[in-house]
Amino acid sequence: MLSKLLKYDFKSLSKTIFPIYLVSLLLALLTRGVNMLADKFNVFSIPSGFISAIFVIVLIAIPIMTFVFTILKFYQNLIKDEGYLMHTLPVSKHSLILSKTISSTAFILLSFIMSILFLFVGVYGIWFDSSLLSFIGKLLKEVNSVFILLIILSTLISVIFNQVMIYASIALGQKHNNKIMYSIIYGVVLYNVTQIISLVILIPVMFLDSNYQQYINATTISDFALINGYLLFAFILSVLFTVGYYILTVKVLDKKLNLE
Amino acid sequence: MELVEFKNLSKNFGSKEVLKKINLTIEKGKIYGLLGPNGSGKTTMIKIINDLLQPTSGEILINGCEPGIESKKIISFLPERTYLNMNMKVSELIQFFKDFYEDFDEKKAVQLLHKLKIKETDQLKNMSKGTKEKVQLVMVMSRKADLYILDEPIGGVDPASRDYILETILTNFNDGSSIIISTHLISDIEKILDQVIFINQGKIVLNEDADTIRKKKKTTIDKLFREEFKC
Repeated sequence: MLSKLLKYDFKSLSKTIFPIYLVSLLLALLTRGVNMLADKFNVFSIPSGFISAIFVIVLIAIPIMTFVFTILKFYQNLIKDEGYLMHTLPVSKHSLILSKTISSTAFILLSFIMSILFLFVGVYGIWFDSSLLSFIGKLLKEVNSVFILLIILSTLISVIFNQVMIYASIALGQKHNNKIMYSIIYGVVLYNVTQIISLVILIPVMFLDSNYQQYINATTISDFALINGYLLFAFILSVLFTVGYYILTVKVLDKKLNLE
Repeated sequence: MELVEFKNLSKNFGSKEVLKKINLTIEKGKIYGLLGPNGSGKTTMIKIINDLLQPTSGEILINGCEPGIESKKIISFLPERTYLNMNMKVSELIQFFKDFYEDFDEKKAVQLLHKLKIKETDQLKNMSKGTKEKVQLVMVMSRKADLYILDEPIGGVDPASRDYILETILTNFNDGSSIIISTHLISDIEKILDQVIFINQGKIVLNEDADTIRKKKKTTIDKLFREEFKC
């Protein structure tokens, strides 16, 4: 049943998000075109600056908008009227939530990648300069590979964690009459609880670590490889929080669903 | 055999007691009318059977088990609101029901929709409220379920379509299945009811065979309802 749920969740999100990619691509091409004209004709320099500014805002907004859309879909699909259908399907709550988590995470990551891709299109056009690609390759070789892997994993888990924490807030909020207000309140509470627990665990570890001062003074990218231990620790902590909030969401929607 | 059993079931919303120690049995092969004024607890009972609300105390059993995946396989539920994803086409909705319900009869759904002049290519968001309700009813009645629960199935449609909808309900439910219909429009549905349940202020005030009521009280169920719940 999970694969069927995924099919519909991916379809539903793509109907909303793909048009955003299309508009962003057109804007990237327009930006590139106007910038090229501005290089040749002075009269285009003001519109070029204006369009470039809008383009940068849109690039930043793509992943943020995707994140907001995935949360709205979760709320509409499971807590509002569509919930009457979704919660009466013969599927487990675990499948419902897992499908939402996987599809949302995939789209948020895709939006990050698309933003970077559109940035290249806006700056370099459709044909990339090969020297740019070799520069990126060289940069990646110089940086500690464990560090890169941990950064990628940390980004991934942070996207999933933020999703699931908001799911848990909505699950707790839907038990009350004013579902939106209580979801926001629970969101603030869970965020602060996470921060406090993380600090309580991380601070003593930092004090006990004699190399801590060295990390603070790290200046070059290779020095940052020293931080790998901390990244791994933070990563494991994030995984634990994510699993905790995921279980909370499933349990609350299973035992305390309140579609009034 | 009992299909649904309410055992001493109560439901509170905050300090308000919406259902008060309900004891009720729904048997196989009967059409039940769940009738009561606004706020009497009809929809709350229906939501509890469908696992959309949890009881505060007491128990509900469907085929001897608590509501869950197994009960959802045998219950076909029509809520009082539109629960469809408006970005879907009718054909996508048919596929959705086919994907999730093993007992969904695609042929029957297409046939019923064609009779209502609804095409598979029609977009749900472009339909009127009444047409959306008809599409929902067709989907729900195209399942071969053991229990159909219809909350206000004719509330949003014009009187001319009501007879067609009632006919659709009657001719499309399985032999041996049961139906629970909740409505205010009693005169429209009373002829199809086998058993009548009156609920008021969270309590079952009457649970009797429809023919027995007519014989004993020498009146229609609609008139009896109006007398019982006179303001």
